[in-house]
Amino acid sequence: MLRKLLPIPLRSLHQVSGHAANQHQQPRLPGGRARRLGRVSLALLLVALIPLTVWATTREEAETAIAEAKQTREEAIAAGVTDSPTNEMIEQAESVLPSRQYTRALQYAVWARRQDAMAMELLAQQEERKAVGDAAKAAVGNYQEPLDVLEGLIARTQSEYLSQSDQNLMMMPDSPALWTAADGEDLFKEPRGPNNVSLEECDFGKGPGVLEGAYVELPRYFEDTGKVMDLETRLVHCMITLQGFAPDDPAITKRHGSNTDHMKLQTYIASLSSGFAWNPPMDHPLEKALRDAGEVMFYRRAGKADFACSTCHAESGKRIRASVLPNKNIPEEWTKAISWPAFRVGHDHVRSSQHRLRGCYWQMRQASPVAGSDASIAMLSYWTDAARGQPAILSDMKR
Amino acid sequence: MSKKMISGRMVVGLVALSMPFAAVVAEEVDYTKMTPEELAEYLIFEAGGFKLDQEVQEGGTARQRMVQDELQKTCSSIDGTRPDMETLLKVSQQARETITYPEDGIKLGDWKRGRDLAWSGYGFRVGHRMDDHENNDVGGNCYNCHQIGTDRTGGTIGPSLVGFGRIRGTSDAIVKYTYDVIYNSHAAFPCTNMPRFGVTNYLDQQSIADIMAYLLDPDSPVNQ
Repeated sequence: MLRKLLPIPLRSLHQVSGHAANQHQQPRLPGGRARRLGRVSLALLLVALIPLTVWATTREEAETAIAEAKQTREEAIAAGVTDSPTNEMIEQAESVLPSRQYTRALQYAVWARRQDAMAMELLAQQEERKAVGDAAKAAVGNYQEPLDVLEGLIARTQSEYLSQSDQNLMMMPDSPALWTAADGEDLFKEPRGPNNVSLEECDFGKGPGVLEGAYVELPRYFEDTGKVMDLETRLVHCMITLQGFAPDDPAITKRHGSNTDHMKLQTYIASLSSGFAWNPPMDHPLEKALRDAGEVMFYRRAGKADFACSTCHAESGKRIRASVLPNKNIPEEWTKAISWPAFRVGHDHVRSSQHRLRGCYWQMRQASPVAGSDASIAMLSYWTDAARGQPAILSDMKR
Repeated sequence: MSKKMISGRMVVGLVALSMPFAAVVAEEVDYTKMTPEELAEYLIFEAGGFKLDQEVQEGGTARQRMVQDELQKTCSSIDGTRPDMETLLKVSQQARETITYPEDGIKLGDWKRGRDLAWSGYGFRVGHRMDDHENNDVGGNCYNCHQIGTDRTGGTIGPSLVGFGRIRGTSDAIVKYTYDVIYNSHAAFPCTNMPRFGVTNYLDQQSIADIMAYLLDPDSPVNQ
């Protein structure tokens, strides 16, 4: 670039200026001094060039620059840039034109244009960030009433599984699970156990006491235990370590039935994730390992009747007697299947994920899973992952 | 002599010292280093995932229920993909070899009892509620997956069997085929979802005969 601007190549310029005066000294001259001399002459030449460029600015150039600045100004206004000093700058540019200060006018116009371009870019960045944020929020979802979530899914899919019980759809707004959750909220906030503290310091993965959207990101790996834990296991952990309950305390051991502490607490915590998309993290290698083992277990036929989970949950629209079965391969359908705790009308109790798992293994004529074991977490990891992206229905109502 | 004793003691001491260390090493299992299949087996059998010591109706413990036999392994492919044709033919061939027949030939029993058994899902469940075979007959669970009579709602995992005998008749070939499918359905439908009621002694010969009567007897409501 520089070379193009100079009429004489740099090297020859140096040679010319240095030649006559320093002919004899040349061999004694250190290399550095010679280069410095070259630089000085280059600087001198550049200084000489400035007036040349100043004189070179024509009225036409200045007017073009002002027109461009105005054009950009309009674009900026259209993009929504409101407070900007550019109008003033353009006016200034125009005001110096009659006095033939074309270079100054050009300068003002260029500044104005740059200012608007920068403001537009900042605004675009801001909007882009907001869009990304909104998209992320939409993907995760916001709180939505369980019935609204379910009706939305039914409208989208026409799934027979989702829509099979009009009665349940009618009863959902008055679900007894609401009372269970309300009791759970009181229990959660009440100082309890030998340590007389509430569960508000319990970290379910999103920070101590943060419950909104926490459940849809379980099971997850917890640094403090080095284990992947589901809601029930995490709750047990906090009740023991935080509140000081003994592992054999009924508060810990009684897990089933709407009247148990466990169902109350689980129903409350989970209900704060209604409408949020299932999103169990798979960043930690243990999360991934258990999910993959859960997949193997899902298809693993065993037991007296050769059943696997996939016997009933791998096709859509199939029924066991009159009950339409959920298909694991259709996330919009599967989200309802895994939306526990749910009020089970036939049981007249709110039931948990671990209770559902136990029931399935009982029906399969296999051994009972141990709640909280890594095997049970593997199953829950896999089944939650299969519903990824779909909104949770909490608390759901099931037959 | 004394030197030998000392070195002997030292060896014993070293072994004793290293034992806790060995135990710690044995406990540390890295799940992430296992294949999903290895980890699943480990979780089921080694990591306390299931109540394996529970007694089961057929004798023994629930552990044996969790161990897969060859057919269960072959028919457990992930994502439900069916094995290749060669494997399926082998499954079918091996299934045929498992079928044994009553010494006095295949008979049709009492369709009324068969009807109750076809409806019943009782039997072989273990855990929080254990089925007591002394109190109740073991049912065939047929209605869970099949529509059979038109008076009750059956499932749709298996095909409809409405009018089974009326459509097919009761020739020896059909009677044998029906027996085979109940006894070990993989002979006709390799890697089917249906349990192997005869091979596993899920249903006894009397129950199989009664359920067959429900399906084939011209008087059964299935064939009305």
